[in-house]
This record gives sequence, structure tokens and C-alpha cells, in this order.
Amino acid sequence: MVTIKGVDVALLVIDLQEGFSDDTVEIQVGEQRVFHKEGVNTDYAIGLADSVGVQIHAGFVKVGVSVVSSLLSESIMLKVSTTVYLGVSIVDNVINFIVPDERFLYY
Amino acid sequence: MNLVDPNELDVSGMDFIEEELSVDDLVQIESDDTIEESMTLDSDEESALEGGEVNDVTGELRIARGPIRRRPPWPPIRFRKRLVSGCYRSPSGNWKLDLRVDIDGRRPMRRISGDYYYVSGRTVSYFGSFIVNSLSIKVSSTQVAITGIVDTTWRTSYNKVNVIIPRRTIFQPPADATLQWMTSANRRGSSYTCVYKSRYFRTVDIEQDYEKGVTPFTLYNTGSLPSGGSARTLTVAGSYAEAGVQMRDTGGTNEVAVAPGGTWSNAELHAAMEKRFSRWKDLPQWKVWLFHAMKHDRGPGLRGIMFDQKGKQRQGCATFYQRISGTTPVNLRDQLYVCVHELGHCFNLFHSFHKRYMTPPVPNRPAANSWMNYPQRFPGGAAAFWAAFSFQFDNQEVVHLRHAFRNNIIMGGNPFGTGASLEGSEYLGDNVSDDSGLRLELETRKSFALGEPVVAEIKLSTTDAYGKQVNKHLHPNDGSVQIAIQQPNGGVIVQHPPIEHCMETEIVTLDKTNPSIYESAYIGYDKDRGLIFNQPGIYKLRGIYYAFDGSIVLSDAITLNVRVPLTTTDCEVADLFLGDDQGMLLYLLGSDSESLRSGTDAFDLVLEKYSDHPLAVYANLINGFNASREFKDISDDYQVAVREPEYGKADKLLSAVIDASEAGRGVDNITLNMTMQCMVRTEILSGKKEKAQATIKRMIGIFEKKSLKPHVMSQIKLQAEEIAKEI
Repeated sequence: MVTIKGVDVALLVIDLQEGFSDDTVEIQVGEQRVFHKEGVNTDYAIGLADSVGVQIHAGFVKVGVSVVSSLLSESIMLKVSTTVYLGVSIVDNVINFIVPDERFLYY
Repeated sequence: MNLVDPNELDVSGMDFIEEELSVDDLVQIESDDTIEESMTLDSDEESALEGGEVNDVTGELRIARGPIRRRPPWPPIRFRKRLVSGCYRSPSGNWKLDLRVDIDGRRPMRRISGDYYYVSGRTVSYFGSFIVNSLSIKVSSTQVAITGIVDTTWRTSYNKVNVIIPRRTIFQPPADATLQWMTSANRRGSSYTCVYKSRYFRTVDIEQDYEKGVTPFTLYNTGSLPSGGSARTLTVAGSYAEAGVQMRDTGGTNEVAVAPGGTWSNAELHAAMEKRFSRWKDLPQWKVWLFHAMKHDRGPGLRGIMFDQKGKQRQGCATFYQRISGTTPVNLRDQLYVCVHELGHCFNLFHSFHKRYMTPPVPNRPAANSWMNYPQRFPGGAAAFWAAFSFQFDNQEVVHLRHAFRNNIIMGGNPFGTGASLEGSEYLGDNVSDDSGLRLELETRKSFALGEPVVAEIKLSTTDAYGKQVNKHLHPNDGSVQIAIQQPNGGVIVQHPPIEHCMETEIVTLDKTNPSIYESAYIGYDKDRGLIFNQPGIYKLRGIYYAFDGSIVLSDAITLNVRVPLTTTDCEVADLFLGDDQGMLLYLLGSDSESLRSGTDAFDLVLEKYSDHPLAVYANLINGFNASREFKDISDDYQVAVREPEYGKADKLLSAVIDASEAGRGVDNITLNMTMQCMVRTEILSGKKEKAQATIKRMIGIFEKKSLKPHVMSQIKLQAEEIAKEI
């Protein structure tokens, strides 16, 4: 975590992982839209479709993910005090979230 | 309980077995019956000890003083028998078989599989693969007999195989395996005697390069840290050897400069592979490149990647040492893991938890004790994974590595994820080898309007310095060339022209002075299926030439795009071109036949209403050719009515074709040449000799501007001289 002008700033890294197939995806963190892309596809050689890192104030934040092309939408409340990693997957037409203790590794 | 497949026996106790199992062990594991003890001794020395003699045929010992005792008081001396598992190959014939027998040895998977190759002249092409998943094995002291129902990539009524392998001691050379095909009613088909080749089921050449500053992984002792399985020193090659795959290092390891910007993108990795992988070809081959690099664009979270998902895929992968370099046990373990894991992707293996995304899908195996699992995704997390991991592939992955249909596993075969689960189908594959001395090339424009006739230019040339004799007739009509076409829906057809011409073979020699011959052919119509290019999308084409020595020479596959019509006019014109009659008329270059009237009317309407449309040139072409010749029709009362040539009409229509082509909006060069020659003849026959001479001159002029190859231009001039003699 970094303090900038007296405000604690943390990093939120959101990985779009498995289940994406030519999808249009939007991610909202708090009130801000931080990601919008068409043609999101999972590369199964590593199990990752795309990734976005956002600097946010430490504290609680709501992250909303919409897969516009499949009419799926889900949100999660996260407590962010240091770098937080969030994995997003689509499994059986449902958006799943994973919050690991440390960075995701891909092979 | 087997957590992977409820229908399978629980063989979890066999998941990690280090020692080699003989067929006797295998049969004993499955059955409580004891194996009949063999009384046969294989050595004459043993018979000398016994005071008897050995029957050369049966190996039976006959003791001089009495009949053979079934159970001597002393234990019989038994020489260890050779394992029968491994790879066998049929040595000769039109069909070559690579046979894989997997019933004993280390981690036997109880399968048989094989790949067939068709040998024709000096070309060898892959034909198909088969696998037997459920075996019946009968073991005696003299032979192993294996039977089972076969899954094949081709259709056949022979769905059963019987494989006999005589048993040999370790002092004897390995025996041949004989495979007999049978129907379910036990009617015999062909049989193949295959010579033992290797104890490995597959062999792959691996080339490794490393980025400057990276120390590539060499070996790791699995006992350095807690793990499942036994402690042993593992290299990458050793890890695959345990799975039955021989990885032969080519020894061509080179240092590569540091990545531009310090990190590698997938595109840069692919470019590096094409440049640095000395064995790289745009072909399926048992060769792979492993690149030891420092960092990927995606950052330290990416430890490795199989980046080759373009063209002929899965030929290369990379390991990133940013966070795992060094010689601590953890780092070495991670390096080994990543290298073997990424190479696993090159073999078309998916992650244990992504198996459902393969084509076709199979259930995920998140608890798999496998190189293809992620430690952090294992139940209980990374610590639990490493404590349990025996440094192996799981059983289904071992079956894939050893027995997958060839194109589902070979590097450069099916795309990543296709056929990654023991299924697949075969279309027109590359030749495995081609020593024919010939090269076939197919060329078309890259893009066609919907309805536009697709014309392919066929070129045959020689790669033999001594020259090659070939059939002059390359048109698909004449039988020595065929064109295979994959439509946007994936279906593949081999185009059959509506009319096959039984041409007398005309032999020409291709050599330095005349290195190639050309032909152009309209390939848009098939005698059984009608119009081929009748929908927008991407089509793949490949030419096949049948050489005199039996070689089957394949061109590279090319693609063309049939565009979606953009305007209403384009749609209307496309509709006027898309009809069976129209396809036939394009093939025949016009006809007066009443049975094709709807096609003729359609083309007339194109000229009447859409004369400025680009596709109108084809309507001019076929109407012009048709008008340039007479047409004989047989009436109901068997009288022949002759419609005389309409030279004036032909001249006008063909001129429009030539004008459009000269302006770059017309037909291909070969068709243009044909059109101009037709026009010259039309002018000669209608008495317009001066005009004919002017057209010949114009023809030479048009082609001289096109920068054609010298021998092609010479041909055209020769043709012009021949026609000029008719004036």
C-alpha cells in the first residue's frame, strides 16, 4: 500500500480467467468503469483472458463485472488494504470470483 | 474409490509404480489364476545340464532317461523375458504402420494404437490412426496374444485387431509383432508384421535456446523437498521418458539476446521461434522448441507459456525465470515443473482443471496428481500439491501422450485444444515426406464476390536438377490434378468436374529451360454438389497432382475469402450467378442447350441490367465464347441443326472482357490469354485479317506489361506465332 497525500492507496488486480469466449466485458470498481472490451477470449494455454490493475483507496470497494454478451452480471465487496488480486471466471453460465492470498500464477 | 471415472477399476495404488511390470505380473494382478509354469528351457546349455535334448521347434526339453516331469523337484531356471511394449514398425509396402503396444513395462496403460502412412511413389502421407482401449490379453510362455475392438479415424468394417508377439528372453533380439485386422464376425483382413523399433512410444526432437542472463534448467532431485513418489533425479527428458516419450535434445542450444524492452510478448516469442528454432517448419513434425527466457510482458505472474497458437500450432513454448532462477531446491523444482508443463501443452494437453474446455470436452480433474495441474488449484493448495505430487502425468494424459491419434498430438497438427482428448478426424494432411522432385502450386485471388466464378491457377514445377517428366495436362478435367476445398462450415470436398476428359497423356520435360507448366481452371462447380463457393466465408484449397511414379504431390493450402455482398445490386447480381445452370454454363463456357436456359437467361439479364457491374465480365466471357463457335443441336426427329458462329457478337463480347482485364477489372491471365486467342481466331474466321494481326500485337503488348517470367512470355509469343500462321 502506498500513501499519497495522506490517503492510503492500494492496488486491485482483476484477472479475467476461464470461460470467456468472444465476450464483451465491463468492470466497474466503485463508481468508476475501469474496463470495457469486446472479443474477450480465454487463452487456455495459461487460463487467462485479460487483466486490469486499478489503484483505489484502501477500504471497502464494490467490484461489479458484467458479461454484456451473455447477459451475466455479478458483484463482490472487497476489503482492500494492500494489493488484492481478484480472479473472475464464467463457469456454467455463472460469474465466479476467487480472491487468493497472493498473486495468481499462470503456466 | 476412483475419483476420476466411476466406470474404471480403482487402480490408484498403481498410480505411481516405479518398477517395470511384465505381462505375467499384469495378468497376475488381474486374476487369481496362477500362470501355468513353463517347462520349456530356452538354452541348449540347460539341456546339457539335464542330460537331455531340446526340441528345436518347441523348445521342449526331453530327458533321455524318462518322460518329461511336469514339476521337477528343483526350481526351473527361468530367463527373464523381454518386455513386449514399445513401438514397432512395418518395414515395407504401400502401407506403413507404426504400432504401439502398451501392456507391460513402466505404468502400462493396456492399450494398442497405431498410425498408418500411405506410401505412393516417393511421397509418404499420413492416412489415419487407431486405438484399442479395451484389450483381452492371453499370455503364455511363448507368446502374447492381444485382441480388442478398434476405434479408427477412418471408416472400416474391420473393427477388431489381433496382435501376436512371440516372447523372447533378454538374451534374444526382440520379436516382431504381427497385427491382424478382423471384422466383428472374425473375417480376416490384412495383416502387418512390424519390427520392434523402440521401447518408447513416441520420439520428439527438442531444441532449447536461452536468453542471455538465464541459466537454463538441467536437473532436479525430487527428494530434495517433500513430495509424492520416489526420490530420483529428473531432467525434462527424463520426465517424459517416464511417460513413454523419448525427448532427444538436438544439441543446438544457443544464446539469444535480451528481449527488446526486457520482456517478451507472444508475437515476439513466435517470431523468435521462427528465426531461432532451426528445425521449425510450417508442417506437422515431431519437433519442439523450448525457450528459457527471463520475463514476459504479462509480468512475474506468468511463469511459462505455450505461445504458438498461430498457423501450425504447438511447436514452441517458453519458461520465464524472473522469479524462479537460481539453484535452490524450490527454484529448481519450479523450473522443472514449468518446463515439463509447457511442453505438455505442446503435446496438446490442457490443464487438469480445464479439460472441459477441450474439443471434445472431458470432465475436469482438479485433484489430478499431474504436471498439468496448478499447485495453487490443487485441493488444499500448493503445499498439499507438492507434498503429494509424484512428478508425473495422470493416467489419461499418459494415454494421450502414448496413444493419441497422430494429428491430435503431433506438434503442428491439430490446433491447441482440438482432439486433445483422444478423438479427432483427418482431412487432407501434409505429406510426411516428398522426394518426388516436383512442386505443385495453387494460386487464386484472395477475395471473391459472392457468385463470382473462382478460377485457380495451377503451376507444376520441378525441384530436380536433372529435370522431371510430367503430364502436360494439368486441368482437373483431365484427371492428373484434383483440387480439395474446405468450405466455411468445415466440410471438405474434392472437386469433381462435371465432365471428365479421358486425355491421352502428353509428356513434357520440366527442366532449367522449361521449369514449369501452368493451367487455369474454373473450380466453382462440382458434378455432384453443384456450386461450391455458394456462401460467404473463408475457404481453404489444396491441389493434388498424381505423378507418373505414383507420387502424390500436394500444394500448400491457400485460403480465399468470399465476401458478403454489401449493396442491393451486389445481392441481385450474386443471385443471378448462384444457380446450378449458371455453374454449368461457366464450366462449359456457354451453351445453347435448352436445359440450361435459366442460366443463360440469368446471364443475359446481368448484361442487360447490370452491364457496369464487375461480375458482368463473366457473362460477357461465356456469351462471347459461346457465340464464337457453332452449336449443334439434335432435334426430336434426330436431325442435326447447326447454329452458325456469330463472329460479330463474339467479337463485341470478348472485346469487353479484354478491355476490362486490361484495366485490371477482368479475368486472370490464363483466361485472358485464352480469350484473346479466341478473339483472334474469330477475327480470322470472319475474314478480318488485319484486325486479327492487331489483336495478336495487342495480346503481346498486354502481357509484356505484366512482368511475366521469361519462359511464360516465350510461350505466349510462341502461341501468337502459331495463330499468326492461320492468317
